[in-house]
Amino acid sequence: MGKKGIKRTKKMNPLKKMFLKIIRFIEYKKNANAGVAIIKKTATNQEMKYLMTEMFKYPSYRLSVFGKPFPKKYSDIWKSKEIQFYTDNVKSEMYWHACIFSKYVQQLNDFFKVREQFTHFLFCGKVEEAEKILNKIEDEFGKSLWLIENRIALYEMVYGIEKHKEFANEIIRDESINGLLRFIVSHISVRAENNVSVEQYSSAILDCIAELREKHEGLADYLQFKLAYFCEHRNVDYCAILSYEVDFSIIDRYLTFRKIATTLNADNCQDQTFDACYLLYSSGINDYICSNAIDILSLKCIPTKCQDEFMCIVDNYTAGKYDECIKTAEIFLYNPNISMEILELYIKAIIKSKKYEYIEETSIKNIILNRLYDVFIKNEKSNESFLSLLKIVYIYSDHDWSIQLYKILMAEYTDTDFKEFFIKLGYIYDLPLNPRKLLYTGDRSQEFVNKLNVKYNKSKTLMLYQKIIDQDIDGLNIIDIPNERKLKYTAYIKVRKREFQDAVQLYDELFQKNYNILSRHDALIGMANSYYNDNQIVKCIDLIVDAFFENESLLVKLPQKSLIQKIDKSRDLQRILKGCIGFPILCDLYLRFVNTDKTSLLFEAYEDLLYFYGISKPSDIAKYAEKIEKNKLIYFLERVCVYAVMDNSIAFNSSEEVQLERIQICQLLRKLNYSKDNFYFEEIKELTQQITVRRAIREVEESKIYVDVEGIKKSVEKNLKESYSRYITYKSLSIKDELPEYIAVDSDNSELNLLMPSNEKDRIFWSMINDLRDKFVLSREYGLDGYLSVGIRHGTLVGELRSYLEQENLITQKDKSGQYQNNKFWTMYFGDQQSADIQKMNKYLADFSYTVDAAILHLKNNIIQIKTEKKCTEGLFDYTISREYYESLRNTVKKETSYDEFIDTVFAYLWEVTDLNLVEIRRYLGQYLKHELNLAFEKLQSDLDNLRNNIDITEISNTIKNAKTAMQYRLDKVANWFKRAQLGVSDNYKLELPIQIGLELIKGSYPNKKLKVEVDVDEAILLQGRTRKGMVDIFLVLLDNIIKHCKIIDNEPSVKIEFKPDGEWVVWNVKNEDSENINIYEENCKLSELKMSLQKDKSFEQVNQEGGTGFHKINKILSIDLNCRHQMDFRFDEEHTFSVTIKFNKRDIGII
Amino acid sequence: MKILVVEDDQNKISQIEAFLKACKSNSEINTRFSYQSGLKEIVNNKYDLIILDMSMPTFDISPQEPNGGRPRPFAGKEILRQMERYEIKIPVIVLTQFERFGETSNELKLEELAVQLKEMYDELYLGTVYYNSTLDEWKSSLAEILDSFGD
Repeated sequence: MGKKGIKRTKKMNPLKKMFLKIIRFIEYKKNANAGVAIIKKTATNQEMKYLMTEMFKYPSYRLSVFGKPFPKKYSDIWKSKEIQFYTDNVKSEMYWHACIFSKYVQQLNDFFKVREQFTHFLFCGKVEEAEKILNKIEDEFGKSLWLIENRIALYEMVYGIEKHKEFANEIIRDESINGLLRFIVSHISVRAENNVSVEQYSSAILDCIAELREKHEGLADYLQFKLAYFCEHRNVDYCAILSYEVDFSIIDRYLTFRKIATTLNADNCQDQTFDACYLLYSSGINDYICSNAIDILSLKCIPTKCQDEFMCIVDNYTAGKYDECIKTAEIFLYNPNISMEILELYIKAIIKSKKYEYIEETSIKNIILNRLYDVFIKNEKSNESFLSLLKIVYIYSDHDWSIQLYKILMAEYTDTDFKEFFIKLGYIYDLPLNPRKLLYTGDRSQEFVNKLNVKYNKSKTLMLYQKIIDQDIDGLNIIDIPNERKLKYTAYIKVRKREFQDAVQLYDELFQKNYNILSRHDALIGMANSYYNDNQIVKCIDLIVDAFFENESLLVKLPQKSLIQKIDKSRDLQRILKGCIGFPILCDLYLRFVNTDKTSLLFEAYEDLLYFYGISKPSDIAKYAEKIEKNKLIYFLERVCVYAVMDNSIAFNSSEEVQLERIQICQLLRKLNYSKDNFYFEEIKELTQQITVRRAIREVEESKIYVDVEGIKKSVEKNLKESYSRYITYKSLSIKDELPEYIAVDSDNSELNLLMPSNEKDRIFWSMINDLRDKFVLSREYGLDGYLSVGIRHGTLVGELRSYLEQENLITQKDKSGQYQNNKFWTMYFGDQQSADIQKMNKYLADFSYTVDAAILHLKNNIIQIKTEKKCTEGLFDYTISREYYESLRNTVKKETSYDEFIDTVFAYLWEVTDLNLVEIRRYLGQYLKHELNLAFEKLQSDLDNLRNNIDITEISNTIKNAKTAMQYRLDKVANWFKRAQLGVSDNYKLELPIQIGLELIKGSYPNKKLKVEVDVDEAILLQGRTRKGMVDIFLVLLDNIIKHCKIIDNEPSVKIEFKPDGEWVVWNVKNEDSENINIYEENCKLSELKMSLQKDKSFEQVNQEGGTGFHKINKILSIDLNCRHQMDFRFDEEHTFSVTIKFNKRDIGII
Repeated sequence: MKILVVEDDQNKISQIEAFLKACKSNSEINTRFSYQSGLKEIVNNKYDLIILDMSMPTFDISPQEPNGGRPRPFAGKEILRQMERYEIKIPVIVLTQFERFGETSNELKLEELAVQLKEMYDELYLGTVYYNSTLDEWKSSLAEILDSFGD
């Protein structure tokens, strides 16, 4: 065509065409990442590689798409506010990232080299050199999260927390740096702190992530991957994780990419990463982990240095040449990048040759060696050492060796669900040609052996593995390896052949021959697994329990978890195990060390064992003690027969019965296990104390309705006797009784009714009855109203009803303007404070608060009040005396009636009235108030139901329903206070008792308020039982004062209680710290006035009044109830401590 | 028909009793208020039907037992487990006012719980009814199960 002059259009390369299309799209969208999104979604690998390379050429795209590969400032990291668009195609995202990394292969390879130097210095304790390397890395590769993490770890190790925090805080406080980066750094810093345990860190970070997960799933996944990788293994969105680091250092991005690739591989999803890893492998990346991630068999492995030496170490170990193994391994101990298994084999060889000596912990390497020793031999320090190794793993979580170390720990010391995952992952981070990973290569094991055989065909280890694969026992026995290994692997082959009985015999032989501690452990573990697989459940349980008694740390290697799960699914197995004491012990071990999800099974195992012996209470097992292995019986009684298990049993009717049974069990244990006598004695003491306090609290609650009749009798005796005598004299005279009470007279056109002086006899009688009634109900010293005020109206009632709802966050306090405050708890719970729904919710809760408060205040101020002719109230304590009753009483009293009989008759009448009043009050509480509060709850619930479509009200609804039910019982409890006190004679007691009672009662009344109490009581002082109620009341008033008046808001105020003898006195001092903001001078002036008023208040006029400090009530209790000479002082001292000192006369208080 | 109601909410008990009296007028209704008293009654006496709450205290609340012992979010499920263990074959309807049970670690939604109960105690378990004191829907749901169960 050209020849004919027709212009030929050169056909454009389709890739180029595609690129131009992307560019046009980017220009149109004005967003380079929009173009990247199209590429990731639609392009093939080849296209993606081309397009990325093309885009990389344009500086304008390079920054926005690829970020700064080596940021010079921390503020350059995570600079973009939005995360890059990402697809849900892991394969494509991984490949895109691999394309990017392929542009930085040289720099990444350089980084690996210097990183190896850093790890080497770190491991051998050359910290100055290690720090220099970090500086060099910073100079060459800029800032990265990896750098921050390692600086923090190094500073913490070398200089301590101050230097580490100084460095971390510089980043955390720098507002020019991305907030999320600062957040991550703050957690990395906490994780590195020497005093923060792995458990503490994990629980805090997982809580934080769980909270975030509800709103930002992607970010939660990212943080999970970066900060909680080892805490648990869960499925996360890898695409999101990659996208979060789009403008991180290329170092961080590559390490994250590689961790994702290895994670996917360990999860058997290598197809997602194969192309990406292969691209990097073929681009010349010098990272064998990347090739391991292509294929765990490392068929495309990069030859690594030291591979031959490693094989030599393994072979020496296999052949039992432990000295040579140790010698060769020592050369490589400082380079963990080769394989952590060198450290493992080194320590195991030392154990087998019994040459262990403690190594001075001058470097991470030495720390790891010492701790690994503990973990392998499972000594008493093994758990502590395990946790300390775990801490190292967490701190250096982005190091390849830490993942290998984690693998060793998982294999050796845990039984978690994700154990297999992390073991496989560990092998991906290990040397490519490690024969020990054979056991994790599944049905490709022969393929792997073949590969290894190409290079190491003379290896004894490979010979051994070949025989294992072939299940060739004869062949195995002619290999020149130690007998213990022959026995172990022959047994292993038997297990694989499912010849479990033979396996058990071989393991038993291995155990009996006792070559070394590791072979003993291997034998026990192998035997337990064989029993398990052979369904010999009883033998398996016995073996596990016996092994536990021999060495607790062995438990993690035994099949207790799978065994429990198997038994839990089968009632038949449970029936077989009825008489097996090991079964409840096994269940308890499972609950203690594995999971708390099988509490019902533990109870059933406990009950089945008791049924087997024909008993329902464990203390009765004493009769059969001879027939049961002593150590198992002790364990069963000590750890299984505890409250939380026994309270499931229908053999007990109450908590107290369960506790009394536990006391009997402890008594039995004291006989069976004398070495722990003190321990059991302490438990008995504590339980007895709890029971005594609970009984005493019950007595206090049942003694609220009290009148000091004897006190009244004494106080009125002189005058009343005289009046009664006059009355009887009048009664004996024949004067006509009936006289009109009123007489009508005319006055200024109107009629007046004038009261006539009644006849003297009636007047005296009427006056006596009225006086006695008034003393009975209103006397401040002895009467009912005083006791109602102290025992019910003074804080207790409101505490019982209102404080509970406050604790449940359903009601709030009023602010200064009298409006109910917004409910902070639920507002925070729902998050969006400004939303109209939350405002509505606050209104509903405020309405509820108002209704509840109105009902409680009405009860306190109107219903629980005395009513007489002179005191006209709504009160249900109605002591108005009707004319009819008066008449009937008058008729009862005859001329012959003695004074004492008369008095008793009047009091009997007054108690009768009291009983009727109490019935009314109980009815009010149990019917009217219960109904009223139920309606309030229902209204609140139905109000909130209106918001159901907009907010999730499940949690608040649950709280309302729980509180509604609980309030019914609380009202029943309050109603129960309104019963006549049945006061028996209390036992003599130590002052600790009323203190405990007071603290328990105040805890019930103010569940949200906490006090830090320190008690220093002279234990030799014993008080008479009659004073107990008074002492409890005094202490309650004092505690109530602290709760109500102490101005410390944020912390728990400290309270110190002392009770010491001082000559003829005993001195009770209660001190509480108060806020530094209070004006001591002003407060002490007010207190001086109060003291003056107390001195003047001889007739206890203020006792029946509510509010105030309660000191008038204390004064009355001391003077009247305890009838005790006393001195009381209270004041603030210069240290802002409020102190109350009460001196009791020893004789009056009945100190024994 | 002899029916046992195991329930700790007094208000709910009154409503259930009133409903049962109305729709099963010949029935004898007994009530128990906790895991312990409920289980004891089930083990020791014969019933034709049990209406079971899910979350209850361990013991009956009383002045002697003011808190009722340990609270049990899954008391009803535990009773079902013991019934299955003792081979007590009385049909059970779970009647609960909660939509979510347990703490974060073992939290379950009502629907999930219902599925679990069906899977684990298919022989005994008739169904779950969600109770709301302000609405009557629970009555029709309960009536439906009672009808399908028959006398």
